[in-house]
Order: sequence, then structure tokens, then C-alpha cells
Amino acid sequence: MESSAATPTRPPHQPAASPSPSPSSLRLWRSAALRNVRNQWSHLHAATEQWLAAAADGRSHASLLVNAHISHRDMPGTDLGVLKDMPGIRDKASSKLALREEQYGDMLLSCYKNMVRALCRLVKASRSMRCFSKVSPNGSVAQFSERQDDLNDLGDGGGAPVFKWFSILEFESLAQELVEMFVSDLKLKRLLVLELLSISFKEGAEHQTSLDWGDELYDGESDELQSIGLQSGETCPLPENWCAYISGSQRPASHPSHEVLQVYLTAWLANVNIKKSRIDAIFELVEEEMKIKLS
Amino acid sequence: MEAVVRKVQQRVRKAREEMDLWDDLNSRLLTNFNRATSVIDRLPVLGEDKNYGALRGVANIQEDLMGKQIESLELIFVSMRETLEKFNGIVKALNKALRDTNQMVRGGSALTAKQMQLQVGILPTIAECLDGLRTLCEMHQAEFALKSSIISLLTWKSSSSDIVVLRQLLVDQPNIPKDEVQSIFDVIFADEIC
Repeated sequence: MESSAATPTRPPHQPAASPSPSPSSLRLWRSAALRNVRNQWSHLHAATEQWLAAAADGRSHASLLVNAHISHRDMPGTDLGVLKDMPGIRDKASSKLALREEQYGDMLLSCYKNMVRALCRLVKASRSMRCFSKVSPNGSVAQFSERQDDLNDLGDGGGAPVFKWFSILEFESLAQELVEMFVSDLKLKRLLVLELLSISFKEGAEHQTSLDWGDELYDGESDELQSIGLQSGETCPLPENWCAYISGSQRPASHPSHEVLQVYLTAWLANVNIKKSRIDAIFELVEEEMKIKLS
Repeated sequence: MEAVVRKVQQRVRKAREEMDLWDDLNSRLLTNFNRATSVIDRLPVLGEDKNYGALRGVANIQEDLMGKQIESLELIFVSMRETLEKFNGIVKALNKALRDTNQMVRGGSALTAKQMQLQVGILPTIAECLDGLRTLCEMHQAEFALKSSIISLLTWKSSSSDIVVLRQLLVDQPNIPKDEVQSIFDVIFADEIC
């Protein structure tokens, strides 16, 4: 994602850290910053857990959907044994499987929705590390807030360490690393949801023929993606290094084969862009620095 | 004489506690084996460009996905080797129990051949206990060797027919026939079965 444009608290033309404040104001800033950074990191931790849990649920719904789809598709040729003489059995089984497909599709979509929610929380926390002085009318008590009142105040305590070593900037860059992993994996999952939901659409003529990358997958998806800077206009832009193959008419129209479906499911479960060991290392580092347990 | 038999029984009982862990470890090994083989089964499918459908437009997806799968396969292998090490620990504990028991009856005031064969009431003879324990050691030793070679035979190139055979061997544990183990314990703890 475009980090400079998406992080309003760090305009690119300003210096990386503001001039060092006086020792007493720094002390006050630090006690507020400690609390804030700790809170934001526990949000980050909860959000990653939430995302991973939703992805795991999505994985089981996705495979149930694929299984139902395959049985549905193969129904006309399936040997029903002794049941074959029962009137309407094939049609009944077919419509039941179609219903299942729809249900699993809905469940998959709701997992995707939870993943978007978790990502929103993650991004929001990653952008709320800074702690700004609040301009109070009488100027007597120092107060701090998440909002920037004074453009000269970067909210980073002049680059001072918050706990022991890490400055706000360093906390931000670790958080940003997490955000980037989850953003890129969400995009991949979005494509998979799109494809998996499209397989069942292709059956019935009353539905639209397939979903497109530019479509909104659920009501309010655009707003949520916009709120975290993943989308600026009406539709979600295609990631830069993906080719146009995904959107538009060049997409394969035929039913995906078993193998393709298997690759889709594997791509889902592998969390391709998520480096779990790196995530664990980041949280360990931060826990060590803050001397608290996040989990 | 009876006191010696009781002591020997006590050692066998301890050895049996070790053996009780064996089946848990085996189900852990099987779980990981199944996870590994489902990855291995998928690899040929993942290796073919044409199977990527709409994902073909995603940069580097094939390398990334294969890389991830190989990585998780490696992790599974690491944990299977850890489990094997635990099997080895049990085998060692059994061997030690056998050595210690031998030491006890042969060392110090060594028992005569006649005393070894002496049967007190329904208690087993010392010779029977030692034979039983030795057999148990050999069974577990051999089974451990089999499992080690099964795991080393499993690679990402294993065919699915090979995998079926290997899995069956892991399930069957041919060197540890359950009924034979039971009858060994029936002899050693004859006085406890009423």
C-alpha cells in the first residue's frame, strides 16, 4: 500500500523527527505515549489473531463449498445405486447441493468480511502510535491526544525512545510491516473469494454470470477498504504487479477443474503472504521492549 | 525369593508406564505423517502452470505457493524427527530397565539357575520376567528402527502408492503384536489377575 499517502501523520516533506522537547515536557509526553503505544500494540495483536482466525474459518467453508460444488457438478453422472429409481431423486439432490453451495458461499463471504474488519483495526492501530500535545486554553495542564492540533508537533517526542530503545518511528515501521503482509494476503484472498463465489454462479441462469474484481463483494466493502486506503475511487484497484488477466473478459469462462480448485484451496490455507515466524518475532520484540505480554 | 520377584515386577511395571506413552506418540506421528503426505500429494498439481486458473495473473504466485508448501513440509519433518527421538527415549528406558533388572538378579549375590526357575505360588519365575522384558525391549527396538526408516523414506518425491504402504506400516506397528505384549504381561503379573 502507499504508505506515505495513507499515513496522514507523517507528511513526506517534513523532517523525520521533530526537535527535542524540554525534559519536563518529554517526561509528560512519554507517560502518555507509553500508555498509547501499549494500547495500540494490544490492538495490533488482537487484530492479527482475529484475521488469522477468520482466515482459518474461511478455509473450512471454502473447502466445503468446493466439495458441494464438485458433487453438484458431477450429479448428472453420479451412480446412485439402488436410489436411482426413486422419482425425482437426482433433482432433489441437485437442488439440495445447490442450496449448500449457496450457504457455504455466504459463510465464506462473512469470513472475508471479518478479515476486512480485522485489517481495518490493524491499520487503524498502526496509524495511531503518535501522541500529540493538546492545546489547552489555559495552558496549565499538559494533555495529549491522538489528534494533531499543531502542525509542528509530530507526536513522536522528538524521536525519543518510548520505553527503552524504540522511538515512535520504529514502532510504526514494525506495525507497517505487519500491515503490508496482511494487506497483500487480503488481496489474494479477495481474488479467491471472487473465484469461489463465481463457480456456483455459473450454474444458474438467473444469477449474474460471474463476479469481477471491480465488484463490491458485500455492502459496505468499498467504504471499509477506502477507510484504510486500499481503495480510492469506486472500485478496488488491481494490485500493481498483477496482470489484467484477473479482471475483465480474459478470465477463463469454463468451469475450473478439480486441480484448479485444489490450487485455490491451497493458496487460501497457505496464507501465502503471511510470514508467521516474522509476525511472532515482531510481537516478541515488542513485548520484550514494553516488558508486557500481549497474548 | 518372593521379595526378588516383587522387585522385578516393580521394574517391569515402570517399564510398562514408559510403553504407555508409545501409542500417543504413534498417533502424533501419524497425524504429522498425514499432514506431510497431503502436502506431498498436492505438489505435482501446484507444479503445473495450467492449474492456477485466475491466480495466473498474480505475480510470483506459483513460486510463493510452492515455497510455502515446501516450508511447511520441512516443519512437519522437523516435528516428526522430534517424535522419533521420543520413541528412541522409550527404547532406551526399556533397555535400561532390562540391564538394571539383570544387574539386580545376576550381580551381588547371584541367583543360581535353579532359583531363577523357581516358581512361588502363582508368582512368575524370575527367568520368565527377564525373558518377557527382553522380548519387549527387542520389539520396541525393532519398531523404532522401522519407523525411522519409514520417515526417512518419505520425501516430496514419494508416490502415492508408496505412501499408502508406509502409512499402513505406521498404523500396524508389525513388531509390536498387541496380543503377544498382553500375554507377556499376563505371565509377569499372573498374581494380579484374579
